[in-house]
Amino acid sequence: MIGALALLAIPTLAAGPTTSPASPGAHTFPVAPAQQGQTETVTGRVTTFMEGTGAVIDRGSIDGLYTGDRVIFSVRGGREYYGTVMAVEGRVAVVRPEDPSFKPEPGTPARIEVPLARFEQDPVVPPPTRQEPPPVRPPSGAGIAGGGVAAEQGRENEPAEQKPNSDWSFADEDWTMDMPLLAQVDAILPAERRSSWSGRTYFSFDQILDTEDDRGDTFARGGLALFGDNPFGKGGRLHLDGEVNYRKTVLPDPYVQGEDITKFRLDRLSYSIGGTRFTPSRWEFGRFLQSGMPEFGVLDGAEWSSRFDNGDRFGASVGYLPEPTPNQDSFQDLSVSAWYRWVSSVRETLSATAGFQKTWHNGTDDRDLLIAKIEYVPINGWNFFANAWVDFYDQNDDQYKQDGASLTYAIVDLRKRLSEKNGISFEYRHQEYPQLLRYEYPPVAPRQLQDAFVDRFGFTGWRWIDGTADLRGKRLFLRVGGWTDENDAGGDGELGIDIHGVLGDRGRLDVAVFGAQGKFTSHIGGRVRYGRYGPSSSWSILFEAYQNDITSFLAGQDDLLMYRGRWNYEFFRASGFSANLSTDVLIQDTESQLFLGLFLQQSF
Amino acid sequence: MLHWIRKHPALAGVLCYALLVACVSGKTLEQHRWWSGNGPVLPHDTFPADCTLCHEGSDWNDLVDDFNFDHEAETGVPLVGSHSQARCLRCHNDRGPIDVFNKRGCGGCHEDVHVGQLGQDCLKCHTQVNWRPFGQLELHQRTRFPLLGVHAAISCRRCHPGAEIGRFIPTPIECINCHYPDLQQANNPNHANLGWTFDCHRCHQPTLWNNASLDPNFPF
Repeated sequence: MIGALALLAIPTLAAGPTTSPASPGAHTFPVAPAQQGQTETVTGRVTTFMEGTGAVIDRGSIDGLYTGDRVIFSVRGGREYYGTVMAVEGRVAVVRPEDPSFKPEPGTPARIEVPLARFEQDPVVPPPTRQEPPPVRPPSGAGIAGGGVAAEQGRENEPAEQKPNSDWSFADEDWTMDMPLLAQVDAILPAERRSSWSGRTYFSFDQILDTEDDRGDTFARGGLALFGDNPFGKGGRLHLDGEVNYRKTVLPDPYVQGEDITKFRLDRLSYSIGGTRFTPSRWEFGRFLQSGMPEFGVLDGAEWSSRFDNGDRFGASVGYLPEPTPNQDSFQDLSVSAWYRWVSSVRETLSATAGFQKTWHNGTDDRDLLIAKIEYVPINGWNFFANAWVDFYDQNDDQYKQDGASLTYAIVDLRKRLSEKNGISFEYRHQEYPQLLRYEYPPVAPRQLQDAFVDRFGFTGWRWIDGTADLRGKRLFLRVGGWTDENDAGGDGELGIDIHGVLGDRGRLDVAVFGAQGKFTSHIGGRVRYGRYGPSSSWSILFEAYQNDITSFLAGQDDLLMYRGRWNYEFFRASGFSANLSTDVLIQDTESQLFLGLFLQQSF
Repeated sequence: MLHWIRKHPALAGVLCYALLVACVSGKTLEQHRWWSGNGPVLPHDTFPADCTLCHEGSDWNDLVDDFNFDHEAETGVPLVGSHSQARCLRCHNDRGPIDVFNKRGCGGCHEDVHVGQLGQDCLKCHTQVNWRPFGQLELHQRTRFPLLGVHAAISCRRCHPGAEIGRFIPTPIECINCHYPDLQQANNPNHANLGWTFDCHRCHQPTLWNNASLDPNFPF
């Protein structure tokens, strides 16, 4: 059909924009009126290009195209070429480029500004298939009989012929030629899909060697994360994640113990079902991170959630909370929680979630936690995220806290990419110690429970001052922050520049100066890093020097100059294998350390 | 055997891992292969009408050998690191519209093992190649507890017991929180009896803990 249309276009080219003559499979179209008023952008693609004729695009009269319409081709690199529609069919059109040397590749995007008025009229050219009864699948093996116009139109009305042994065995019910490809193909339910497995294995080895004889650390980890889709024919998903690790710490301190043990840790072992577009409800059982409200933590239990048509979700869970430690001891902290997530639309640009968690530690009332969070993620504009963890205390049980609500954690993030060349972000963090019977963090003193807190504010800004990453540009960045706690206050700052294209297209030189006022120390220093960053491998070397001052140590000898060097190499392969090797050297006044790192990962 | 493994943990680990990789990587990732049993793929209504640009054969299951899709050029979304080798259906599946997940960043697809306590800018600490964290020392320099002395030379897990499972908050930073056993053994003079349980840094340095220097203003 395209060939016929292309032949059709030849006399049209000679005659200029005019009505196309009748032809098998083609229709008669008016010449495009002057394009004025409001328009709608119709996008398409070049499917073929024929010398002497032009480019064929996959948009036609049913998309509102007329002969004479102006077409804009966008090629890689951002250049645009123009053309004119010379002939139109239902779903295809022939376009003559204005630049005779322009020969668009198949797949080249094209767009046409079509006046909205065309869509408001009766269908410009109703394809014959729309006016006829739904297609009837011919008997198996039946061919296309006849020829000429009738045969061509008959071919349009028929669904795709099915091969007896084809994997593509589902009928294109109600599909007609004027519809997008695959528009009405029936989806296959998750339970009807083949079982498949994916995941990763990893091995990491980190060692710290110290010039002080009796100090050192070794940490080796080997793990597996496995996802099984539809493993039991029910459409569910199995998730397994665990690792074996070996840790050895040697310390010269006679009172603080080192360690030399091998551990197995099971992070996830769960089965979930539902939560797809076919099934709004979702269940998950086993050990898993709660999907509806991850803030409620890993659970040994069950979670249920559901979704409304407007995109809102809600859910509840019950089970035991493993401790957030390498042992992940469980079955001491019973948790019951529920949450609701509101979304502004199914696009979820704005969402707000609130949830409540109640826990008991070995049967004793422990935590009453309310978590609220808001997320606003427009494509353009400010991105905003905030969450707040509020604990409720009863002074009869929680003697170090006042009755009522207390803000335990809070995060506010606000960021915006102002243009292609600059962006800014702000952050705020608040943190206190919740009073819990459950082991959630290392033990603290009662007075820390009572009044310890830390607030942190941060600002980050960056700007390309010369080109971009692709154009050997330079990026200037600034990070500043401030913190305050129950006793002290301080801050930090870092100013740097990343220079792209140094010693090669993929080379980058980063230079930064930084300083900070910490709670016990302050420092000021500088950092230089050079690296080459390719699509499948990268390496970098770093040198850093900084002067530390132990601010509250009043007896002199409170300065410490530190140097650090680092080499890092990373690569990954199409097979899913990736590796990372690194070496750090840390030089201090009386001792030095060597850090060796190895990480291997195979995805499958 | 066990003795050898304990003596050479890195070598033993690499050998075991090589064996494991050999078992699971019998074939390369089927990045672009699609099979009808996988379910619906991204709607094709904006694709070129010439199916042979991508498909070959008659069953739609195989793509042409030289199939190449420049995700950044075609969609404006670059696939970085291991994402460039991920199977299309890992993202384009029937969870919902891909842009809903995409605009939420990493959290749109990856579970947040930090349970919302570290914010949403994952790329501060992780690369997109293999998720191994990087630059922790640089990041620590911007906190109220910059690492120096031996604190810069110990494994993260010594101060962050939950580090292996992504839990870092809250972490107490007072000396007593980690060095309580030292305090109990400090008998010359007896620190606990004198009530010297906080402000250790007034007499002790983080690099030379045992060589305390007396603060002349310390309230005895």
